Amino acid sequence: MLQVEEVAVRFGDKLALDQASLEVGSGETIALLGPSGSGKSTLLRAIAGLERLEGGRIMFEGADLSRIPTHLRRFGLMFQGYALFPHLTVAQNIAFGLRMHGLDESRATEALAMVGLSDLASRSVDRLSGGEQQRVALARTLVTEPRLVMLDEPIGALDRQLRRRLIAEMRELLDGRCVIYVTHDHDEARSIADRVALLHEGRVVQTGTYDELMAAPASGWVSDFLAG
Amino acid sequence: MADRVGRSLRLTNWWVWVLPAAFLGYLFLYPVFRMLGYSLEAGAFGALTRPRFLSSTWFTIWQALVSTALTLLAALPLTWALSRFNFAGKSLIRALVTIPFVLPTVVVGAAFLGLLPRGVGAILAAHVFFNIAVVVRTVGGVWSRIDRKLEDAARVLGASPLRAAWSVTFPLLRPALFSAAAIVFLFCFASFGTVLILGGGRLRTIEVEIYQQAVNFGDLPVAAALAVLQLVFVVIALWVSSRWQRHTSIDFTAETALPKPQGQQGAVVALIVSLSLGLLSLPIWALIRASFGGWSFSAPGQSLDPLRAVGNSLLYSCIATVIATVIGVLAARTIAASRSRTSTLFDTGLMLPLGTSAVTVGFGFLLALDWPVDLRGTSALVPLAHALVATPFVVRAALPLLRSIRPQLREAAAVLGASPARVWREIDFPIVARAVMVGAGLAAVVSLGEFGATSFVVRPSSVTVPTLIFRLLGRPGTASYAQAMALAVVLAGMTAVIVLVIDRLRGEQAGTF
Repeated sequence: MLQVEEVAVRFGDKLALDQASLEVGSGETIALLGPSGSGKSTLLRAIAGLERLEGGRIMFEGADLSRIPTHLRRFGLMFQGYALFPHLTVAQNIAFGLRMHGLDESRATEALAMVGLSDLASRSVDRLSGGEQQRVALARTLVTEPRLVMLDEPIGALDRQLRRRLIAEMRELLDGRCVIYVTHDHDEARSIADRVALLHEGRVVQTGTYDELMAAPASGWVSDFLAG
Repeated sequence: MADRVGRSLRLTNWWVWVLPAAFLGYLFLYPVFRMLGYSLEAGAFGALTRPRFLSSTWFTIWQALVSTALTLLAALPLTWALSRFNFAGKSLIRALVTIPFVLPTVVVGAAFLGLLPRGVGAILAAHVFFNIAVVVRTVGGVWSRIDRKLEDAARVLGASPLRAAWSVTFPLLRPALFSAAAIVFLFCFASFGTVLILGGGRLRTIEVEIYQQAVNFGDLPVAAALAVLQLVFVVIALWVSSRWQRHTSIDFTAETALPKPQGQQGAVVALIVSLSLGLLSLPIWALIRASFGGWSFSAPGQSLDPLRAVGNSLLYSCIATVIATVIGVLAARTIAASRSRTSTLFDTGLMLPLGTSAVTVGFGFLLALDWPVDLRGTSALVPLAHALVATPFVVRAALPLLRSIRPQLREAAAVLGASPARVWREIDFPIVARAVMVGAGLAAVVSLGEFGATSFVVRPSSVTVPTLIFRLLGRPGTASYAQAMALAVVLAGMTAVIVLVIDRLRGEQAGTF
């Protein structure tokens, strides 16, 4: 489905992504794991078309994406911190993508029910708890049936108990979709993803199932990171 | 990492900046270059060392300094009372205090004419009257957010009340004080209408001098050289004040609940507030009293028809508001989208001289707008000048909110399928709509009261209320005088209504200018 080929992104005089390569198959959930500042979010932004590529290319279903602007890519990206629109209600936030693509807006109602927030449809988003915001953001991302779902630490900021419940829910919601899931939590990566891609200083240093990585780390850094 | 901004793709269209750039380029930069070329060609800069101009320059500087000091002295007690305590009717009082600032200069000039004899005293008093609101808003906004516990802590550590205020509160307030002082200085430095009316032709700021040289003496090269000089001064003052302003945004504690004044404090607060309001309303009463007998709207001359002037003013105000709002919003969008130093340069170096030195704008129009078509004989110049002078006010109102929109929101909208134009319509615009309405209201007020630029480009058929008031004040006889005062009351009323509506829209957020 998705091929990221030796992509480079520059921030000032530093390379945020340095020949990063990644492949995601159809229906596969891949976790991007790595320390903070390793380029995880930047890689998602590059795939979404929000960063200018200095080198490499990104292919989707065999087509080069470089000339396709963000709003025509039909990908889903759930931002860290959610980026809910403060001037819109819960229901309006979820319907936003449907409206942009001219899709049936009644699907927003179903999506609300799916994440269990039907009661909050007309509430303003800044009067939601952290867990509720997370669900709204997730519903907004999934409701348009994007060709590729990207989630940037979707449950990073929530408390422990909530996290455990959400991981279980998330697995169900993401089943069968093409997903890139950014996290720095090893358990989360192991329980949600089919495969894990390990990022370090802007490069993908190893990919494989979590157990494969544990069994045969490609370098001393990988084994240290997985241990620690 | 959300806060690290790389070379993210710009989500803007080219016409967003081309339109305001063309507008400012043709109506402001091009006239300025023509003025510069014209005065250089005629070798007029040498004339600026004539004693007459040296004394005008000196008067401009010293009256601005003294006005600023007096304004701070007069405003600080009221600022203290309004920003440290909560009491009934406070928001109304704050709105009332704001009104003098937005009153047309001609109205204030006329009002003080009914109160004091022409001269330095009247000019200084009028400047204080105008600018008290700047201090109350700018300094008060910061003062109300300084945690009271800081002073309490200093007291516990052994500081007397005065010492605590001096060693804790004052240092925290200093940047806001400097910033307010810089703004007041700038306004007084560029004062035109007030000085023209209250100076009696003898006391001249550089702005007044430009007018006299151009209109009374017809010495255009010298007027052009003076205008260039004035612009240089204004840009320097703006640059200094924007450097100070950068330090104003210290992160204070969250808004602390303000106490009601107790006992003796209550008496002091009540005294300060009633004294300040009493003094501020004096010129208004003087104006109303002087207007008795002037409430006939018959025209004393063909070009002096009051009803026609009111009609013209309303029409030009509508046109100018629409133009200024469109251009101002697009310009604010451009400034907010670029993070570089050029955006600050564009903001302070280009936008604000427009709002501060209207005489330069008007004179520039007169000198330069004969190309590509000669616009000078048409009445189109008046609303165009108003729009140009009002645009910075729209920019200033919209910019903070546009800057506060996290880029992530726009990116999220793009990912969800919104084209750049759609992102603007769906995200930016709804969020800034209220601020834009405030900006549009300010633009309407600015246009209604605009005198500096209008006095250069006005034609007999396009006389506005402020220009008519000025003409009537210059005519002998008490009838014209009373009629001028009556018109000033009408103009003040129209302005006050718009301002009260704006204040409603603005809500409780402490606005700066």
